[in-house]
Amino acid sequence: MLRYALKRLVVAAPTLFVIITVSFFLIRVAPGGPFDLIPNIDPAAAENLRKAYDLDKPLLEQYGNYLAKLARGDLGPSLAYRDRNVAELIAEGLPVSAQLGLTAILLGLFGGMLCGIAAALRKNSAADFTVMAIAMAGVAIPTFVTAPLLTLFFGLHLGWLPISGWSNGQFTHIILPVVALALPAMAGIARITRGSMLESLSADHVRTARAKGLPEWKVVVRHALRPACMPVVSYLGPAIAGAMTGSVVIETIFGLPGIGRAFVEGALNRDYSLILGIVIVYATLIILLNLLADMIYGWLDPRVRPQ
Amino acid sequence: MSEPLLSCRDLHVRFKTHEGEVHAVKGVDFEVRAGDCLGIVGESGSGKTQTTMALMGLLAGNAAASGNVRFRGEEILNAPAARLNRIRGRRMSMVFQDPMASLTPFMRVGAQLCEVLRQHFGMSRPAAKARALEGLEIVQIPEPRQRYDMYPHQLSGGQRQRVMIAQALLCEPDLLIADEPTTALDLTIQAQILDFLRSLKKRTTIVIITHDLGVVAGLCDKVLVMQNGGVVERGATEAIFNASKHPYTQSLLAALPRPARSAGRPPAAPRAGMAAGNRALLRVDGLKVHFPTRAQHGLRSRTVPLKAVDGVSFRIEPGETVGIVGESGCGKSTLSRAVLQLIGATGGRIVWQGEDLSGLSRKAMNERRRHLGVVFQDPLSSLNPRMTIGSIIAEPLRRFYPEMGRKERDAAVLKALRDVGLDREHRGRYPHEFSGGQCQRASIARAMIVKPKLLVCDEPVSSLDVSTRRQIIRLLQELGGRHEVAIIFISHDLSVVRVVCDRVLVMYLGRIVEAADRNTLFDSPAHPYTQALISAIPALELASRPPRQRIVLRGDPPSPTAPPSGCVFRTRCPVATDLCGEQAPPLRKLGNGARVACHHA
Amino acid sequence: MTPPSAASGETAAGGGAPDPQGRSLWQDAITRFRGHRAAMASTWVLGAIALLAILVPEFWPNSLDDVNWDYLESPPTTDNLLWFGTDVNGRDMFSRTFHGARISLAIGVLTTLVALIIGVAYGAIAGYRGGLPGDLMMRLVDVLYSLPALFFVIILVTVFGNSFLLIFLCIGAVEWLTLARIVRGQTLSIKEKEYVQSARAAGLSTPAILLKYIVPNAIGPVIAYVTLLIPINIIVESYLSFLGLGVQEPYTSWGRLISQGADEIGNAPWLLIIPASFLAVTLFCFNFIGDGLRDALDPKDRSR
Repeated sequence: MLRYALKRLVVAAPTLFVIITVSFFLIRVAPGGPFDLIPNIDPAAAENLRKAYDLDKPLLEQYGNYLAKLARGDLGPSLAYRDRNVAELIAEGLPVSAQLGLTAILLGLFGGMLCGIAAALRKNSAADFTVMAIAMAGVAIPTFVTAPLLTLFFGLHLGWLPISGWSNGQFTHIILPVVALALPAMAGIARITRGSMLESLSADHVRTARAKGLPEWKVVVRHALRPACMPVVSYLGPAIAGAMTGSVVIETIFGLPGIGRAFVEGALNRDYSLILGIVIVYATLIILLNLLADMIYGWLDPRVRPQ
Repeated sequence: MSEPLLSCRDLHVRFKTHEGEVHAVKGVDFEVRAGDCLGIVGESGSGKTQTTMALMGLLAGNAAASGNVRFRGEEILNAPAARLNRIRGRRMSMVFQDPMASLTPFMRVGAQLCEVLRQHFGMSRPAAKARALEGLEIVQIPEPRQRYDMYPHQLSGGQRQRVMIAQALLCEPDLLIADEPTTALDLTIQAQILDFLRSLKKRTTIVIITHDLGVVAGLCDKVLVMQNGGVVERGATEAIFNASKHPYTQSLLAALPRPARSAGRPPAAPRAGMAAGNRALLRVDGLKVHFPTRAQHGLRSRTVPLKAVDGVSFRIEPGETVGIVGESGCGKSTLSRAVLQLIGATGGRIVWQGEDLSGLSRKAMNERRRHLGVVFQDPLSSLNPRMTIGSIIAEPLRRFYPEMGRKERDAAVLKALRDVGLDREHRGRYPHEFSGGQCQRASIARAMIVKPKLLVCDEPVSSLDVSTRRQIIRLLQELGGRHEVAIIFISHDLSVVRVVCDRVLVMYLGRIVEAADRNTLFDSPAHPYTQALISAIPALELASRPPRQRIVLRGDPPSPTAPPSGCVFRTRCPVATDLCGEQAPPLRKLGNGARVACHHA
Repeated sequence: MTPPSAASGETAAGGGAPDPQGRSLWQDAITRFRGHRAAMASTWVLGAIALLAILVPEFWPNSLDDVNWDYLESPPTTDNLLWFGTDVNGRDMFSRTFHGARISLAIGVLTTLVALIIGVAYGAIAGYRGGLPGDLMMRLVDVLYSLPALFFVIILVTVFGNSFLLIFLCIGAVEWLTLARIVRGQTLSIKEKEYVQSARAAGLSTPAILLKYIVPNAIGPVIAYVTLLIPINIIVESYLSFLGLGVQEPYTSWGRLISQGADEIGNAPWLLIIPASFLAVTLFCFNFIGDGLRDALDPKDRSR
């Protein structure tokens, strides 16, 4: 198992390298630079700034320098916040985004699975239809609609929860963003769990378990639940990517100081080094989390486990 | 007389589906007395499986059962699960058809066995383990201690079915129900399991559900024949087999191979062109087809060749029918695809009418295909679902006779339809609107419309019901005779091969172990593997009579990635000696004309 | 010689008297789709929204950017046909909503078209070619997969500027990955089907096999996925517009309207609720149609 993980990590390295390379060159072929956005800037001053940030050098040389620095963990200076470097900005924002994202994924995973299992066990009941209708809505309605609606209702109408800000991750501040971010994942996971649970309940080996004379709860817990989890684990990859996408919007709406918001601001300011740094962080995270999902999958199903 | 162990009165099972209600079981009555061995026989859709599902309370959610089922005097039909669970697995247990799907894939074998004991007897873990190991020994699994800690996918098909049986026997039930227990298994493995079930008859009462009267013949005392959800005939096995009253049972019996030698058509009369023999239609020389597979070896994975076909030679004369038989994985299908040049060969030559096919360009090869027809196993999936039957049959004409006019082509298609027994109205229909037998007829029409010289049939009747099977075989025989076409007939079913073929090649692990004409092969098989295969044919033979001598092979076939040294069959061979491990026996000719690869034949 | 008679006991699956005009799988699929009530209703609703998106911008008296000075941020009213109210600048929300519909729908459909062309070509080649080149092609897809699409779109839009055409191309260029995977998987499995083997054994050329045997059988899941890709792309565009990276003034899209509505949520909730409802209804419709198509094209899965 450990060897399998190491092997996957070895494969992940070139993946990350390709992403860095593609992103680097994509960003650098853009017409116009970050300093053209400064109002009334003198062309000579812009030229000096470009020199100061090594942007006048040949592209390949810049690429080489970037990789060399990256190997030492240096992501370069921010082009928009001129006295900060990218690593600092990410170090500030990442804990916020990570707390938000992880809480939301866990909530989506457990909430979604519970709803899905309940719906499958009570197939075609009123509870089943309610859960599935809400899940359908959760899948179809994007976060940037649900988030303002949640704010409107719980923040402004009922006045129970604050509508923006972080306050160092205080519980009341985190509820609305986490719920808004978790809803789509929860809805998707509930639908998948219900479907796979229904399929699993009609599988041959579950019939065997019933023929053994086991009580229904043992049949469900020991024989039906585990295969039903597997499609959910496969869905974790897309769900995580979705949560990262969603966090960009959620952080913007709720004014949270995470790296998602930093990414959007970086894009608007053409802060190339910041964008690139954040892309690298996100790609690394996604690759690691997908690896984790694969390991869970192997743990659940001995047939795909490397011998 | 005492009360029967199980009695079933006026049992009905109805399913609610999108297309309306389906009445699957229509008033079935029967009873089972302690010590009985009852066979329930019927083709697919006869309701035999749903009957037993109703008994066990395992029907699907959209099914409803009505009637009376009494087990040891207690009414159990539609009983609450809590009451059923005191009986299921404890007093009445079940073995299912597909052991791979029916065992929980992510639980170790031992855990699945212990679960039953802990549930019904409340045993401690060590006690349950000891009892479970005993159970594995009873079903004669090799190395039970190691198997105990394995997952189902790490076992072979036969071992999995033994685990299923062990699980069902753990609580020493009063009644064992086995639903097609050998259908998913290979012939020699099937013989092992049947042998074991026969030995079980002394321990417990058994109900066997099967489509195969041959299985019933050697095993059961009583038979119940079902058709379309109802019982059409019942009685003692002997009485049914000797004097069946219902035409349906008679047709099933007629489809069964007889142990006597009078099977099939008269011994092959040499047909035109066959006697000459100087130029074979097809000659295969030392053909090898290896597939690269990945295998883990210590720390690194490396490529290991899977030797699907490993040095096979034979020839086919114009107009003759040659059978290739063997169990799954012996390479017979790979061989047929290589002959058709659908898979590239790793080594050896395929000579078609004096011309080496492997050297040809793709285009030149495609021209030769006019004379090479093919019929595959799965009738539905061998027809393009998006084309009408008419245009599917016309496809070879459009390819090889592009100059043919539309009218002429339509006429040819109509004639082809008529030849295979389909109606002219069928030509505008799509494959999914047909039954399996009709699809196979269309497949044959497509293959025959350009009058090929060689027709390769890869298990053409294996997925059809018994009665349809006979019709398709008759059709192939008739068309083959009429058009002087040579046929390569691939099958795992020796009883079919015996009816159809002039000559038979027996394959084991990628090699030919015996080649002989039909009568020689079936009357005096020389290779121990052939002998075992023939004795494993479930034939019309009654349990009450003294059994003919059976050869039941040990163990499972080895993996084609790591064939044994010397003779590939030696690991399962009853007569193997040290010599077999050292030297691979060549195919040598015997006095009766058969060729055999065995040191001891 | 007498031809063998048609088998007794062998009845066609359809049953009844033989109908010389068989029903193709496509006809069956259409019938099944018609029987799917939610999908049919969604088709009508979507048709109505699309019709309004075409007609309103052309014929509605209040245009996209006319300012009604007497009705700044007015709730929905019947005065001056301001049925959906006005925004902070006093612009008619009815007109703006359907202008937004036009752009959101157009982007959804056109980006999907771009993705379809790239994905089908790429997937079919990778699948039919197979071997090492095919594997390498799919490795690239795997690599791109490990980045959330939106990030790439944001980079592309930042780099190349945000004109309509570029937004189409950028979203399309990112969203083809799943299609390529579906098409490749289909091609791989159909390639091994016995009817393709039969066609090869009958001497048909590769292009003929691709055209007559592989493409018609692979297209079903692609159609179903395309109806699900359209709403995904509408959402991606909405995200962009929401973040200020999408369409620019004076044009508008649902995402942009929702973004502006979210800012005014305390004072004028209708600015959010109206475009959000239209977006949600549209996405629902596409999802239902997608479900209906999937059930219609792949009838094996009728487990409900």
